[in-house]
Amino acid sequence: MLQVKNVSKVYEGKIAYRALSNIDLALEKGEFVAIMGPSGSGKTTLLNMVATIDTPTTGEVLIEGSNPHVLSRNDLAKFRRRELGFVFQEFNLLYTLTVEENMVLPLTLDGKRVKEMNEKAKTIAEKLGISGIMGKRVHEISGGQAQRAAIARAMIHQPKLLLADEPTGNLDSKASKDVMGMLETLNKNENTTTMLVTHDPQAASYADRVVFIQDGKFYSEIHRGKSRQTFFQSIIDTLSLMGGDDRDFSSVRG
Amino acid sequence: MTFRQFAVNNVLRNKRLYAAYFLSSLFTVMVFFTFAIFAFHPLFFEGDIRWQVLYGMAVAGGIIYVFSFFFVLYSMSSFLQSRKKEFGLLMMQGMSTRQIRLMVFMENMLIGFFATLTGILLGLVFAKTVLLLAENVLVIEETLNFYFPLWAIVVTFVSFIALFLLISLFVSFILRTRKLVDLIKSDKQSKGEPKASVTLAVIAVVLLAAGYATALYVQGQGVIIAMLPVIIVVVIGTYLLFTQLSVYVIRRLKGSKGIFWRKTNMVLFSDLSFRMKDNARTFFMVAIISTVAFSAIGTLYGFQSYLTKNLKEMNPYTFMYSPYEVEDNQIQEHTETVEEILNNHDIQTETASAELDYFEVENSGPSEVLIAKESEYNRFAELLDEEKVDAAEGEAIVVADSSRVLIGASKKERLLDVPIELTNGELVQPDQFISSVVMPEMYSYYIVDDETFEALPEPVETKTRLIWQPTEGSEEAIIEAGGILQSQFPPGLFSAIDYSIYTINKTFGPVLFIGLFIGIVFFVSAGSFLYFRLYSDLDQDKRKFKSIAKMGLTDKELKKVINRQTALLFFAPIVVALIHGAVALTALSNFFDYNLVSESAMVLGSFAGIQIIYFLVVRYLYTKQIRRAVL
Ligand SMILES: Nc1ncnc2c1ncn2[C@@H]1O[C@H](COP(=O)(O)OP(=O)(O)OP(=O)(O)O)[C@@H](O)[C@H]1O
Ligand SMILES: [Mg+2]
Repeated sequence: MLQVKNVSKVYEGKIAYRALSNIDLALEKGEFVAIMGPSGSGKTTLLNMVATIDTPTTGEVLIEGSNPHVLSRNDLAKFRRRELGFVFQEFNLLYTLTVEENMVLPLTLDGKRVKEMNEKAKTIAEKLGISGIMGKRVHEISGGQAQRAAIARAMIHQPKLLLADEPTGNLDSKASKDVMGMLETLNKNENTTTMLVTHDPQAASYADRVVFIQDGKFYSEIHRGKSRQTFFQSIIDTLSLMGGDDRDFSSVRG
Repeated sequence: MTFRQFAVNNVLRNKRLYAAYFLSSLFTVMVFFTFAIFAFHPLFFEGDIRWQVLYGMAVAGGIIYVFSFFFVLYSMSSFLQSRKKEFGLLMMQGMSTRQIRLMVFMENMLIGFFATLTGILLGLVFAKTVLLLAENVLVIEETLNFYFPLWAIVVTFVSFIALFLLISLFVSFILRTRKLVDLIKSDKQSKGEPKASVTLAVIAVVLLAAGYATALYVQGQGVIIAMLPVIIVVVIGTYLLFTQLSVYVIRRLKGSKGIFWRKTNMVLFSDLSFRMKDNARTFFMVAIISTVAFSAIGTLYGFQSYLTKNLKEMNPYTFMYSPYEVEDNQIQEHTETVEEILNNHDIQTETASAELDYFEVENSGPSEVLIAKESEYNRFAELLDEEKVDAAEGEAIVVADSSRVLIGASKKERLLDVPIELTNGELVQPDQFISSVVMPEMYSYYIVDDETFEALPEPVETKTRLIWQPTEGSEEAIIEAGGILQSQFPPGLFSAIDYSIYTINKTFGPVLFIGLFIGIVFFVSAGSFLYFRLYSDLDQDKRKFKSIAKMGLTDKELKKVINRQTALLFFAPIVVALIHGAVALTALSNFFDYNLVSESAMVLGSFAGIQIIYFLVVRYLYTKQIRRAVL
């Protein structure tokens, strides 16, 4: 489904900075993969390459066998809003719109019929339990609700690939659990390939596989066995082995 | 570091943030100062002071000052808006409200002081340029030469220091009432959508419709009576149009999924209703300022054209002598003087003389009417290469009033229904109606064939007219000779039309120029209001487009949204102003009963043209900024 082949990224600037070196990664159709690593290790950079928001310096990204980076800017924009779904850490919702309007915004750009958009919004809202807040503006809802609204927006057009950057970063553990449970359900029921960047071992334990990167390089990966609890434990072990920053440990303790 | 040093450094360090505010203040000072240079021009104090002009200047100056105040206040508040968070952080770090107020006050005074100084300097350069242009473009005999504008400098400096002082006090007073939480949270767009009342929206429509209808309906003197009420009604209507009706319409649009959920509409309209509150104030100001500019320039231009355009056509004879209560032998003397002066100026002429007979005709109106002999008329027509007439026996031709006569259209044909009674009691019926300038007569008159003329009763009055048409001679010579001749005779006896037009242009030149200049100043400041309005939303727009672009927004869609958004901002108030202006100029032409369509079209058209160019430039810059942020 998704192949990241030997991708490197160098940020040009006064001092060129190598954020990613020779990353290889492959996701099966319907697979749920979490990316973990210390702050500054290049997780967002990697996600942006896959999301086609940024281009790799060398190497290539293939989605269903073809390289979206060769598309023109316009086609790329359309590809993004039709084939991919994004959940950003800072929600990325428009404050001037209601929850429902935020959800259908990408669909309106494609000139979908109102009836169709209404139905899709209704269906996904029910799945995510946000039917009651559809008419509210973003500042009137809680962080957890906003994150669910953002997931609803990312999922409304049934994307091939769902990309989430720290979707639980702003949430407490109860809300995190709800959101992760929802991502897991969507992944299982809709068979949506999902790639998740997170610092939170709890969140990562919902994935089928966790990939660790450090200093822009592949570090290791672990697969989920039968129990989430043992998976969670081995994630924590790997993290402490890597010796990430304080933030990682605090979230372990907390 | 003392507190004063901190405040000074704070400005110097945050240059970019302060730049926009500084520039808009500077611009305001410059506009006012350039205006003051003209208002205090020695030309207006020397010799014959034109009180109307001075009065007009004072009014315009006052308006500019009031708008400057609001403009600076407005830029100031949007500047503070973008810094609320900074204040919040400073306060959390233990700065007292008093200190913040002091800091804002000092900053504001510092910016105000430098803006005033720089504005005056740039204004000097600008005024010099404008004057150079003016001298070359317009006939300005009494040259509006450049002078050292000490008074203008003093007045501008004092006025603006006072203005900044007032605003600084005002703003630091406002800051006192704000809570810390409000300041820190202020960057979230949590303020609700402005509401609109249906009643007020309907009132807006009714007021505008009533104002327009009255303005277009009244004629002649009625225009003056209706003017003030109509202006008040339209101003209130315009205010409600932007604050209520537009908000109402946008909310209705947003309420309809069929429209709001269509293509880029959601991206376009999403913030519109939120910004409408700020926009409404700007739009209202811009619409009113532009209307004033359009109407003032249209009036001046129309007035000048009214005075000069048809003067030549209506007075086809270059030199005309019309003796009135003059002895016969003196006429001879006068004629010789004219010929001599014309000779001295190397002007060759064709000359003709006529006796014009005025008769008492019943029901024709208050005064006597000219009845011209056909052969006499045709003699003059030949001189002017105009069409000759042929009046049948027992019939009369009616010639219309000249277009200088201010008279209702219905009264123009009044003589057609009035027969002329001959000595033998027969009636001569008018049967033709023509417009002609052949005979030197302002009011409507008859032409009858020569035989009928003999049968007329005794004329009540006979006037002699002597005319000279140059066949050779330079234009300057004709004007100069005209000037000399007009001063030779008692007023009214001798008319030299080229000289008259020249005089009108000469006196009207500076007035027209200054009117034009003030109009342009108003228009330019209206444009910059819009510009600053647009740019105060730049950061918000950058964020918005960035988040949408992450999900996928094509260049075409981005351009489309920015195009429409900018167009709406730039044209909504101007279109309203153009319509207001067109109505005002129509009312003016109803007042004069003089057709101003081409003048109005030209004035309004040029402003619309400038606005389009302005729009294109701003749109280009804005799109560039947004795209850079999105990429
Ligand atoms: N636009 C950029 N220009 C230059 N350097 C960048 C840019 N974006 C990121 N970097 C650098 O690349 C490295 C990786 O950044 P990235 O955002 O991918 O980290 P991350 O793993 O997502 O960290 P975090 O967990 O804190 O979000 C960092 O050292 C960062 O400073
Ligand atoms: Mg990151």
